[in-house]
Amino acid sequence: MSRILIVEDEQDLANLLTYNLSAAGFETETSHSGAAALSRAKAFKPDLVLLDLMLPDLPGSEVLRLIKEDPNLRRTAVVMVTAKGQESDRVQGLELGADDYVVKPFSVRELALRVKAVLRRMARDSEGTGVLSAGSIKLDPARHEVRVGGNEVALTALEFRLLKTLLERPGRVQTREVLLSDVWGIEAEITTRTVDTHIKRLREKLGTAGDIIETVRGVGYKLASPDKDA
Amino acid sequence: MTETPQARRIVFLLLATLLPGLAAGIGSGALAGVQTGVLAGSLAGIVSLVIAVASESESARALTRSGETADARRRELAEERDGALLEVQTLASAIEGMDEGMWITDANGVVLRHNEALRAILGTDQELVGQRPLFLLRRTELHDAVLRACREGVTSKVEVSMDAPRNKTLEVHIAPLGGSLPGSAAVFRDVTERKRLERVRQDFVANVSHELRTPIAAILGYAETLRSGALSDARHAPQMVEIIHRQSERLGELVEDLLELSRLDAGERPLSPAPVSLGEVARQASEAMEPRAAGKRLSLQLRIPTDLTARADPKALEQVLLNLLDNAIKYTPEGGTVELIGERVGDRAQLSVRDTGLGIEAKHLPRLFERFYRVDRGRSREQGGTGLGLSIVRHLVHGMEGEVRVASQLGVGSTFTVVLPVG
Repeated sequence: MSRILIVEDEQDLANLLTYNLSAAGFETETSHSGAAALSRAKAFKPDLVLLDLMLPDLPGSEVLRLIKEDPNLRRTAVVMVTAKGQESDRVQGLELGADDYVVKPFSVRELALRVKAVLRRMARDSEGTGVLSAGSIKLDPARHEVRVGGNEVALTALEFRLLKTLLERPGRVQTREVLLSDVWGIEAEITTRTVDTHIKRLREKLGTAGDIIETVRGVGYKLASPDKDA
Repeated sequence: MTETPQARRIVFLLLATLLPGLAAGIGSGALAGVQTGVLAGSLAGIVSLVIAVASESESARALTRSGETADARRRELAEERDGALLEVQTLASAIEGMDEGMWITDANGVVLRHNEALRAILGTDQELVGQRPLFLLRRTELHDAVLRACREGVTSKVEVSMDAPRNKTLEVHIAPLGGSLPGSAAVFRDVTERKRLERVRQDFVANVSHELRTPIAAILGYAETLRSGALSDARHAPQMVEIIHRQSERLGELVEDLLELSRLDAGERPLSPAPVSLGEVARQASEAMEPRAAGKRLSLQLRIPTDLTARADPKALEQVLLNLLDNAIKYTPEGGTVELIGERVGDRAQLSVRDTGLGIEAKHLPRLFERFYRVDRGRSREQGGTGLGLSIVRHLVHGMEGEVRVASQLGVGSTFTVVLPVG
């Protein structure tokens, strides 16, 4: 049973989410503030955090950043829930590494479906045909591990999925739209800068080995096939 | 050479024709092109000069032909000069009188002249003439815009944020002088206050949107949950209906408060202050709140001299007191005391609502009357507050030429004081 941490300061909404997600077969816990959520997450080890962006103590974006920076939590999926209709919040959240978002007022059914979809994508990350590699990069889906020249590189779930997607399709150009759809599961008209931000971060984490991810100007990205270059 | 308007015009014509020629030459890129470009420019300048001189002498010849004397011609020139001088003076005083700052630069973007307002806007005493934009403001976007205006004739608008201690935002319009004049002009407007108001408005809209969507999310969510099966969940269904009811009430109150604020903002609710007995208004308000106070076993006390009057709008004042009493009752634990105290201080009448409640931390006090500002959002919601009550109070009190203050001590209680002119 997947575990979900609900972070929502409005008691009625927290109860609403708890009721519906429990009915959908999830194990849930609730935190009413950002600080409480961060400490609860460490003990509860949720698979997914449902994070309201307007919290009484910390901005939700800050909670998100702290989750994604924590070595023990960074693989936890985060779905943002926000009452602000402004796209800038969602874009900021996605760039900070959120896996999806829901805008208040939301349909509880749609929310449950989105949560399931995110968890499914996460589950697929550990499936696969054994270790993928390119240059000095090795990605082991089963162990959810990435190594560059033998040293482990700490990636968030999204960065892991992005790298895995590129490694699975060497030498083929992946447009931003394709990456948004396959990695994020987003078909929305959300800005494609999100992809660029994550590619940039991924390259930084991979060091010089990251050069293997090539930018195809105006189109998207491509994993250079080392065989062809050799 | 004595400087006459004609001589100046000729020099100007020469300059004006030479400069675009130079620019065209540089633009053409190739070295040889530069040479011919300069040459072409110079030639064009000389030709213009010849034409200018020719036309001047032509008009002189025409005058002679008509048989008029040199005196008449001098008079005419003097009139022309006086007219031009008047025009220059008018323009100069108009520019000096502007609230906006203004500077004029030469073709290289160096400041030639400016009005006094510019000094105030830039907040500087330093000499501006002879300086470049980059030196004066350290903003490359402004510097670039000035050079674009000078070199390419491009008009632009840039926003410049000035760092502390000036902390201003300026909107600068930059344009080439136009015609054949080299250089650029820039007009500086201080938009700091406008920007601040924009931010206030945006925050307000974001807050309203959040405050409205939260009850709507709860109502929709619980209704949807009931519809898709929870209706037959005998244990939870009644609670869900209860929540839908409570959240609908909250939504209604919020909409009412928002409308009230907007009516006050728009001045659609004129207040008519008249001498009012404070004891009378306070008694009505406390009678209305008595059942709620009793429900929490609070003692609600009135201590107002019978002859105390103030200039106030009775309805607005009652609304103010109801709001303050409502807050006091909400945040005072069972068994506590809420007092309504009236006294006269000089030519002012004071009404205070004092409670033995939770109290408010000092850091919150300055912002307490802001819209949607809450000391503790969770607690405020539990109590059913809209976050707008105190800002409506402040609005109403200001409308009666009074003021409202708060003093508080954590764990001891709070006192809200309304000060009004004596009636």
